[in-house]
Amino acid sequence: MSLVFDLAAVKRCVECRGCEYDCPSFKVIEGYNPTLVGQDILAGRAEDWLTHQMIWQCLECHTCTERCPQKYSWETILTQLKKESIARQLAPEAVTKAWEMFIKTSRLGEPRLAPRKKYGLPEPSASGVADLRRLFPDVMK
Amino acid sequence: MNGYALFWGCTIPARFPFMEKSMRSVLNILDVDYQDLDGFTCCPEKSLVKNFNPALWELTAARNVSLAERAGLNIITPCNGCYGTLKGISSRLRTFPVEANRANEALAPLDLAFHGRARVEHLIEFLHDQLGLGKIRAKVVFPLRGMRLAVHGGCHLVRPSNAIHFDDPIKPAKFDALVAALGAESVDHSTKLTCCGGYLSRVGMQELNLTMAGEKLKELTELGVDALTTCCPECFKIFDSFQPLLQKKGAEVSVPILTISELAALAFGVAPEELGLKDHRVDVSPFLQKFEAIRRELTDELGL
Repeated sequence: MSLVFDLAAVKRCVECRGCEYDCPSFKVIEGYNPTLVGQDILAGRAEDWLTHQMIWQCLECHTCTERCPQKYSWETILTQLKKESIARQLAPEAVTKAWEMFIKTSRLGEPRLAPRKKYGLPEPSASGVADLRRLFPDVMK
Repeated sequence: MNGYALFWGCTIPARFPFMEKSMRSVLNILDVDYQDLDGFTCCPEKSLVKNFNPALWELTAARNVSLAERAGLNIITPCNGCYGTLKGISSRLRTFPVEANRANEALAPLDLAFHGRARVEHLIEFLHDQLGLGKIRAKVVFPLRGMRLAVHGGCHLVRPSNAIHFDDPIKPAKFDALVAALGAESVDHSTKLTCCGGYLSRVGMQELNLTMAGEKLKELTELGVDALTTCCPECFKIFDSFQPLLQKKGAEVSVPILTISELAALAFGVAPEELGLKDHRVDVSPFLQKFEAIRRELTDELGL
């Protein structure tokens, strides 16, 4: 895989910054500034960001996408970098562990049975993991 | 199709079974035709699974919606993540027939197909848009009058708006209207649209998540709201389960967290002890004391 960006859109994004003060991460996380990523992409240094924690600080909350006049947004750039980071097995351990749980169980957590009895809740519904194994035999374990 | 399949997702059954209790109570009181359906998997979580394998994300989501469609049911989910995925895929496949055909070719061996007949609704969307505020108000026995509540709809209840098609993505109002229908005041606040930050914990950055959640909880503590209300287990987890961690670090935060189902159940007359509110990490007794005063006053007033 390789990193290909819409450079004209990245350039407009770097010059605009209209979403900055609506971005929850920009407001709270010191140093979080995806414009720096955009500038590096334009300078041909996208790969430098594949191991940088900043790409994982984008919450995918879609606020910037809603604000973006060209419907491109910081999120598009950072999600593309996340995907490439995953493909090169550079993602944070917590991300990889969650994925492992999903491909093993088809869920991100197993139902707790004791509290269900306490609240008089019915038995949890049967899982569809067998179907997913059939659809994706090479991915699901 | 009039009936509903309940799509709980992973987090509620794994961490917060009491959320099921209050939502089922509310749906029963509202005479909603619902059932549990076998065969659902994780929705699957968009920010995780789609980034690993977009085709798997799309087909797994399409399969979940198709299961409801085959049973002649719509879907209600009380989770923003599940809503984002299931409604997102429904919007996409309803818009792009080529993609729907591709999904259906893959689903055919499972005797499933997506025709776009099943509606996917978040609980808030169901209550506000399908049922309507009038039917909510009609069931209120103890209006939450005098209660000052902060509403946290969360990101994926309304965004991305080009797929969710539910409420204004920047100034949503429907969750607030529900709170008002229960008799409470929705208190405006500057951090209203701020994300809970749950994603940060999921990528191993819990400290940053605490900082982000702390900003909102500090503001709400200063405003002296009676509670923060949520409609998503992830947001609930961050503001309720993580709040004691902030308190341990010395943050002056103290905000009871209640889900919309818990609020509605209380207003509809369900006894607080039936709802599992003691399983919240943040003590809800300040809220309940005020609510008890409302109940006593109304009980005396109406001779109940």
